[in-house]
Amino acid sequence: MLKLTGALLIIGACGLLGNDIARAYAQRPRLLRSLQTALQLLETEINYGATPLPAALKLVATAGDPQIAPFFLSVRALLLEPGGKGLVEAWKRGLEELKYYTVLTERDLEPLAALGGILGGSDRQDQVKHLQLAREQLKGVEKGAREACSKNERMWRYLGFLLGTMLVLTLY
Amino acid sequence: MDPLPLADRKTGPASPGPWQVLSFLAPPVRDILARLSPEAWSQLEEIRLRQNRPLMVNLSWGDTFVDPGGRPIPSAAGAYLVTAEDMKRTLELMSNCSIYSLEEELRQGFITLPGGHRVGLAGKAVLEGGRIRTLKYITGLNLRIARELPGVADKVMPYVINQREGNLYHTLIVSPPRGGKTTLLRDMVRQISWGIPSLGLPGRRVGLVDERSEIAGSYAGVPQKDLGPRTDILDGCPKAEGMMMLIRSMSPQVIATDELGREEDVFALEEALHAGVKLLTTVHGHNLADLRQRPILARILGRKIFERIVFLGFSLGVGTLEGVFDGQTYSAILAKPLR
Repeated sequence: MLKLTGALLIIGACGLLGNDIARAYAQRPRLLRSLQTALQLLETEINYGATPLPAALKLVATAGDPQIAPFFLSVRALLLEPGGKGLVEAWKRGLEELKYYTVLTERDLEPLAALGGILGGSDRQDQVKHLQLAREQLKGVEKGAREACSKNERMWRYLGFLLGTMLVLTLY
Repeated sequence: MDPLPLADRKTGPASPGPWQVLSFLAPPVRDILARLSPEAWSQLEEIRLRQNRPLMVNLSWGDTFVDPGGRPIPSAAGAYLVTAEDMKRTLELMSNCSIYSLEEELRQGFITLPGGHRVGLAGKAVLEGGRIRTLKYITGLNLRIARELPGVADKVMPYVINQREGNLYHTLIVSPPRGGKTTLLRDMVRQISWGIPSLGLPGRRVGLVDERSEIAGSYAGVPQKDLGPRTDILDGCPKAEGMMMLIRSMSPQVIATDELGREEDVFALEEALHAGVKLLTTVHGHNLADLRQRPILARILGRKIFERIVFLGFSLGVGTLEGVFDGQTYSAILAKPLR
């Protein structure tokens, strides 16, 4: 009985682990898409509304994907902090948090990282160009993530259980 | 209703003092200037940041470099050098990280900060169709500290009020640059708006055209200075157009504006005159002869629009009242400097 419970636990745990990895594969393209939408929104706010950055970031956070909203909110909070270190630092710290809390990787966020030194620092035309460039790059990354997802997601969904079963067979 | 005596009136938005500007400077510069002596702070007029060049402040007696310890020093050798990073951070703080939201301000070459402090900008102009579209590579900043000096107009008011009619004379204030004309104009507007019972002047509706956001120091359209209860402000509006707009829409009894000098201003002045509005305005200059040499001003003087011409100067320090002339006869009403 004890053996059976142990075996089931092992298979269950490995299955869940596999599922998690599969979910991460599925989530990446979705988040990358959400980031593009957010940048589009930011671009509109800057270009048509000339909305100051803190206000624009808040708008983007409210309107966008709740999973990436904390990034924009934390950049805004760091920006408004008295004696804060400025946008470059706030943006960098925001990205670090985003990387920590989501499945996005450092490479996924590279197009965004470059924006830290640019946002708010020039006229509208220039801002729009840089935001468009970042969006294009994110699109490329998203495409890669989508391919990886179609290749790996289903595999990991089953692989976890299979590995668990194999482990049980070897152990007993 | 009896107007309150001058001393009891509130002086408008509580101004947190010149120290307020520190929060808009890059931290290294902020720390240095925070160490300036209180005496230097009380004399501080301008802070000048130029990229890769020594930090400089203008005190009331002249300019001086500042060393990393916050001490004014006469030579540039030991002074703190302003870095590119300092400029970038300062601009970020001044623009709320949003240079793009200040396009109109950049075109005009200055931004107004909360508190009414003005920042002049120098950099590379970006042209479009031969006109300035914006500034980039901003490498020079001049932060002018706005000070409110309630009561600074006390010495002038008796000369510019027609006590028999209980009204203002058409008044022109003439002063060399940095001679205190905007500060004087601001306090005159405030006093006229409140009314001066001791001189028989009831409170008047004042329309103020603040083309360069300098008089009211408006931030987001809200005046940061006390300009009295009966003052309407058109912020950032071209003078001539603004004067016409006010006459049409706000029925002012007095129109105040800064730095006359363009062709269309003359036309607007005449319109205001016909509308029965009293005029209060300023112009750069030193003396009557100087004004007469400038075509547009000569025309204005020739038409004898102004009834009082007030001269400011430096003979007894900034804001010295050098003389007051009758604009019709050019005879001196006050001939001796007064401070």
